[in-house]
Amino acid sequence: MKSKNKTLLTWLVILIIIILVINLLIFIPKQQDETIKIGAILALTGSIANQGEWIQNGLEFAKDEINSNNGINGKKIEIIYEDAQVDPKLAINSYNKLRNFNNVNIIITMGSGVGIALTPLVNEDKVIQIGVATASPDYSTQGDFTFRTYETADLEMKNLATIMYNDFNIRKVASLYINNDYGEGVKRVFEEEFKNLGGEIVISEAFNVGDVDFRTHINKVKASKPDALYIAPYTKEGGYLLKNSKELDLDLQIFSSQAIFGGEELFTIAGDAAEGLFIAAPEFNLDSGDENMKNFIEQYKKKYQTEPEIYAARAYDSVIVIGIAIEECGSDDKTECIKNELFKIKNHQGISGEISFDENGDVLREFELKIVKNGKIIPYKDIK
Amino acid sequence: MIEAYFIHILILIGIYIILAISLQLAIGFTGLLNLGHIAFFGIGAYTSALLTLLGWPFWIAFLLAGLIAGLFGFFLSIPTHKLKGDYLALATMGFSFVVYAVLLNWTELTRGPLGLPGIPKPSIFGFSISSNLAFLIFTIIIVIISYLVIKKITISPFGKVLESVRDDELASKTLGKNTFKVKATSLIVSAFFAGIAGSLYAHYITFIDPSSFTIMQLIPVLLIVIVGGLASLRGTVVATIVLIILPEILRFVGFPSSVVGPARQIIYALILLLILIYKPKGFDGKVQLK
Repeated sequence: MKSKNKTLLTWLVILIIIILVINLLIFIPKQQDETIKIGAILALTGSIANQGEWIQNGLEFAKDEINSNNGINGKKIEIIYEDAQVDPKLAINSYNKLRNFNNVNIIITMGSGVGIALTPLVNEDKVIQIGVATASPDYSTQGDFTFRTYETADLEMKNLATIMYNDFNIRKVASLYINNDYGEGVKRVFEEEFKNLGGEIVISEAFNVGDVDFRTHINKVKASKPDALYIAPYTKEGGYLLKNSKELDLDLQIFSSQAIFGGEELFTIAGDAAEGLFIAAPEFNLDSGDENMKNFIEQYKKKYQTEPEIYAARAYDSVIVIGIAIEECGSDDKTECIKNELFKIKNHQGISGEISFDENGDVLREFELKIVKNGKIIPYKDIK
Repeated sequence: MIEAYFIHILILIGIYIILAISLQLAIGFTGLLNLGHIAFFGIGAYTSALLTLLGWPFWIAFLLAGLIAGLFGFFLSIPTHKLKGDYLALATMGFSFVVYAVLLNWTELTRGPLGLPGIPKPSIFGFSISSNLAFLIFTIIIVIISYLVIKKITISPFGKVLESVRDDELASKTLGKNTFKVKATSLIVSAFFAGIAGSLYAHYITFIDPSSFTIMQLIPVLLIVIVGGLASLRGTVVATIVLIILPEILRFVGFPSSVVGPARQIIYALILLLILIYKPKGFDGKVQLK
């Protein structure tokens, strides 16, 4: 027993020493460099690690682009990643480490829970926080140093409710939403807005993250006899929902919130059941023909061998607007100034669409109705 | 500024110590493989958060968090008192699913998946605990009280009865012990302290949502109990410190950015495996569950 104890202890000690040595070799020399450090607290493992990876790709892409163009005021950008799996308590660990050991003045976060939990801390430390996948309305009113390049539920849904009521003459809507902070957040705004316009929500049902069978939901929708179906799913659930609704001959126009976007997955699951689906989404259009966009897609494909997701585009734009603000202020530790510069950003032509920040630090941007046609998501106005 | 980082880690260690030693009381000392422990943690967190958001004083909310969690511990003990081992584990796991589903779907009360933001920092009798250092001191006091109470229970004659129930329930029944009452008491005390830990968590992080109280969040606590060694409070405390600090050390390993998340997880899992291979009973395990 005694000797076993010793072997274990030796192992542990050796491991810790190795870790510390690696740490000294890699971590310390970097710290002496004159770089602009940005902390990124993402979900790199866990249930939405795919979104985390897209965001990471976008950040790295922006970093490389800025650094190859001689950096910001001659300083290179360095991005330090921490994995928090959208868990607020892990996010606070990550934040404290980034703040106290890496001396970052700017952080990029994903997830509403993480963003809200970090808000009091960043306001106290005067650190800029930019949420790149943060939809919750609670994030807006929280303070001054928090921004986001992800559209609020308000922005996303008010538009859709109006289009459905006015342009499509829909009066009765059935609503199916994913039971998490995203689904609950957008559905609340949508239903409120639709009722305010004079419409009626005939049925409102939640489904869980990871559900693949929606027959019960769809039969309930059928029984409630609505004019149209509103859905707020993630890609995978959305795919199965569409597939099921085709199998059950649900003959309704379906309108979805934007989180159903997620690359090819929607079409591999739903197939042609996705045809005719309406989506409210920012004007992020891979085929827009815009020069910047073309360049971005080309370079991105070269680097990651896949088409860019809008998550990557938002992350990319976030780094670019931070870069603009830092350039104005001269240094990344003048966060008070950076904050004011970010508020001044109006109609910046980003890859994910036009970017302006309102007084809450929320991104303002145009939404448009898109439709799925021949396995492609295109603006509805193009076929009207 | 570096101390802010350590203060935060110490507070987390404190909260996890309370959570782990209370689970140790149920699993290690009474032999109740309770996988519903995280639900008590959640009940405590939500009770305390909702009450203080309604304007109740912190200390009442704090105590009620423990008491209501304890009440649910009592409710859980009634239907499960005849279950043992795996069956008990399944039943209590079911309990944690139920609590999670209620937190998620009772949106009028809990705001469902949107969570509760803006939970106030505690203040006791006009003395505000808003800085992290003050919160750390408060946490340490609560940890010491919890440790002493649970220690006292385990070394008391009642503690011996708990262990006899763990080792041979039938035998202690034949000696005239009311094993239902014994097990229920253990579960209530265990739930009470989990609720207290939940309250500390809610007021420290200031934001809670149901995803913090799933079975996945129980796994680290269960690991601490097993790595620390069954029926050892000292081992549990050591294990908590090691298992919370380990991933923090790994933060300083400079992995390339493309593998940073998974690589840390792999190393963490590897070290845990090593510990369990070399010390299957944990750091200071006294018994092995059948």
